[in-house]
Amino acid sequence: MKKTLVMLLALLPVLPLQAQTATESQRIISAGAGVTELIVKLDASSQLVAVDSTSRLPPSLTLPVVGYHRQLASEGLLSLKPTLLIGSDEMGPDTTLKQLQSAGVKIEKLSSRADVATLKQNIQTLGKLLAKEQQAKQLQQAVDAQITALQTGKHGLKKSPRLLYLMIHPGRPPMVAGGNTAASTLITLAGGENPAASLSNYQLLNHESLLAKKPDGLLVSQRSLQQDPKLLEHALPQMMQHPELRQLPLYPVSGQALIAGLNLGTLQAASQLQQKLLEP
Amino acid sequence: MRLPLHSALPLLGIPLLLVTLISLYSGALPLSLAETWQALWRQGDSTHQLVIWQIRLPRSLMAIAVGALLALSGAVLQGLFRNPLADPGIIGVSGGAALGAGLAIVLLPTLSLPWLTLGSTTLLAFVGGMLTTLLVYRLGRGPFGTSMAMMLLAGVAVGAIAFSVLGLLNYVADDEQLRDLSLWQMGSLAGASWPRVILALLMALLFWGWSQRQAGRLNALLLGEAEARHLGVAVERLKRNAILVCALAVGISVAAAGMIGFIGLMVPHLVRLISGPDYRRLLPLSALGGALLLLFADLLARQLAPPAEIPVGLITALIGAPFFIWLLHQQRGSRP
Repeated sequence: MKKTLVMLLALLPVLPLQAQTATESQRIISAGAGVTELIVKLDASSQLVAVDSTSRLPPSLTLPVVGYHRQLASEGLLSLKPTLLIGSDEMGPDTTLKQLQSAGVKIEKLSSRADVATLKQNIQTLGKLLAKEQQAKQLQQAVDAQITALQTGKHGLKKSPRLLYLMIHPGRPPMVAGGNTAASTLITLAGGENPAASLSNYQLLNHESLLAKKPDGLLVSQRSLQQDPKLLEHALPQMMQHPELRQLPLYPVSGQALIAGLNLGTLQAASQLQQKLLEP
Repeated sequence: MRLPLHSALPLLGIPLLLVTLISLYSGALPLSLAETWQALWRQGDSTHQLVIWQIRLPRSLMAIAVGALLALSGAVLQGLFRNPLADPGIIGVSGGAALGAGLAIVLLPTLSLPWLTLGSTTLLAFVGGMLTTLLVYRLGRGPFGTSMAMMLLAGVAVGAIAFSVLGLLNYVADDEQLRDLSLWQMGSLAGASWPRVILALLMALLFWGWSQRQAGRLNALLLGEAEARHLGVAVERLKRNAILVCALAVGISVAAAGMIGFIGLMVPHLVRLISGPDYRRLLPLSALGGALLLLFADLLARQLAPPAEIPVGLITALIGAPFFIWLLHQQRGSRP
């Protein structure tokens, strides 16, 4: 009995230790929301020592925040004794990166283009850097599966619905998502079409264009909708008098899905949106 | 208070020396006194050497140079315009520089000139500041010489144009650029590299040397332009040179550190409260005072939120203005 217990106790720490030894010395600062998300998903958050202010961490994890990822302060970063700084290609300024490099910190920039190929490439690169190749492969497969499912799901739609994403904050004029936003990618992934795709970024909504663009549905942030179920009536009181607009279906989208270009959350949200579109 | 120069100099000089030493010693990366000393002599840990020689020292010197440049140009411009509210923004430098930086951040994100250590934002900020100043100066010139009132109004108008174009750029910018732009406008000394530091220090020294030689003429100008002319001052030439030199000084400091408000406006007033309006004392004391205030503000900017930083432009006014109000209040108490 005693012997078994001792053996068990001896075995217990072996598993986590083995996983750690390869990367024990690695101290990573992640400067980019997408990168942080992937690091957490690859089960490598134990290697993180700090993140930037755009990153979202799971509630169980608290880490120092190094400020905005385009305004990194070299000494602040050095004080955390990092060995590796990973961020998007937006990360900067260059003087800071140069100074960190000459202090022996490795710098890794990942592309922030919002397409699936880039996402998969980034997963692979991170898998290698974090010594989590197995997890990376699994994650890539999961992404592939999700994309395939979305492609098949598209065929179930009779016609691709015209969907507009409206960003509504109380007290501020509503904005509409243009073509190069994550919201627009989300719409196309789900099988829809963004009638505002000719715009770039988020632009102030021209109220009349709500009618002119003839949308089949509107996407809004889930959190805003929870805070105020009559969100649209409050933000666009005149327009919502119109019977056509009143009857438009509303699709809530998790804000997490739209933070950093195309991320895993975007795919998830696209599947959810497609499910709803497929419902009769 | 009318402190003579020999007692006012140490009043600002000794704190400046102390704050310089403190800003070398303290930062987000904790170093002991011994480690700081070693690194200063290029010995010991290479990371410590990097922190001292590539981050803290150039940054501190940059704060000193930029603070001095801004305060000196504020002092000169206030005399030139005989307007207590004159600051480097009045000749259009700030608006033009902000517009230049905005163009660089929003419209030319790809253009960078690797052969210059100054990036496109820095370069266009400088060029923008210079061009608007020249424009304001041209508008102020008439058949009977340069009218300061005309220049003042032209400066306001040209500034309004620059800021409305900047608003347009804000409107078309994407989220990242918007954030870059607003952070640039808050100012930061984080980008200090040695070539820039040397340029700024050299400019500060030259500016101080030049303005010190003009101190007598600037004093005469305080009486009024006609009076100065009767005293034998070549007023027109003084005005032209002063505006050009101020534009150059502010252009360099804005390009190096972004927009840092308050120093150019308030430091000369602070110094006048301490030692009177005589330019022979006002100039060196303003330079010291500006350097001290910006260095201290930058020390706080680096220390308040590690591992991140607060833009220094937010802090200068936040610590300077209450002190200024207190000093004004004291002044009123002593001379009812």
